[in-house]
Amino acid sequence: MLENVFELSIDAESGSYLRETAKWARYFSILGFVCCAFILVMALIIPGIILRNPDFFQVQSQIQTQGMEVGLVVGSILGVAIYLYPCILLFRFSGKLLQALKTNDQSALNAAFKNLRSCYRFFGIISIIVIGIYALIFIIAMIGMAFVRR
Amino acid sequence: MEDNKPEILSDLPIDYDAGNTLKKILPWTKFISIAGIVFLGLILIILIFTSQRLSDSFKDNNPDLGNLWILSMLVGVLVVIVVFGYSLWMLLRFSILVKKALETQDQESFNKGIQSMKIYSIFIGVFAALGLISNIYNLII
Repeated sequence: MLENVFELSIDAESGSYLRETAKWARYFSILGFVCCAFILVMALIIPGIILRNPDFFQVQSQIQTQGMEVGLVVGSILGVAIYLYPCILLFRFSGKLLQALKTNDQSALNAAFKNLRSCYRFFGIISIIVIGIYALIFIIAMIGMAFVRR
Repeated sequence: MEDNKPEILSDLPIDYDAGNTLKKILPWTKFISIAGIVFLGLILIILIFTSQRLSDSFKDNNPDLGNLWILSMLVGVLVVIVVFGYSLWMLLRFSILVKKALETQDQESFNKGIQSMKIYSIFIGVFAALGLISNIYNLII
């Protein structure tokens, strides 16, 4: 009987904790959507401000300015795309969890946990990538220092 | 009062699917929390070893500011590290307690684990709000 493998349940106590978690997760995801919109708006406004600043052209050439502009916009869009994914997962998690707690819907509870799993897996992979980059920088710095000492 | 009745109708069982999904969440939460705690520990060690040098260079750049101001800045950083560390500890506690609950079918450990996740969510939510406010403030000022 696969259905009865776990004898645990979401009782009144854990239900109240989960309901509060879901509310915070919803708030956090909405904050994430606001941040994404903010970053996108800034990415579209800031290059315009740079282009209108005549002092900037005295220091940088037009090609450099345009390159920076494109880099800023593309970087921001990429950043938003990466950040948007966990926000969507968290939003789905909170929605499904609240639905499960309200209607005792087992499939909604399972869907909520699956979204939470995807969200933590995403953050875990991002953490591994960041740690890998730091480790690479450290190794390159060590090799560089060894060459400088010679 | 009709509106004040509890939303939970009856206990919602952790079935095979939900239990297995929870089992798959736990290694990731454990990894994220341990990596975060190690990272905070490294920042703390660096801060301890470089605090004198940082304070001297800060005094050189801002001679008007007194020692008390520098000390309060260092204490502020320490408080952020401790509070963030506590939230990560809650995430680690969630993974430890829920793992124990799934292995031993202990409802009390499960509830405590879920409570830890709730505390972690609150901390992250507050941190995110403070981060957004400070970013907007820096942008305006």
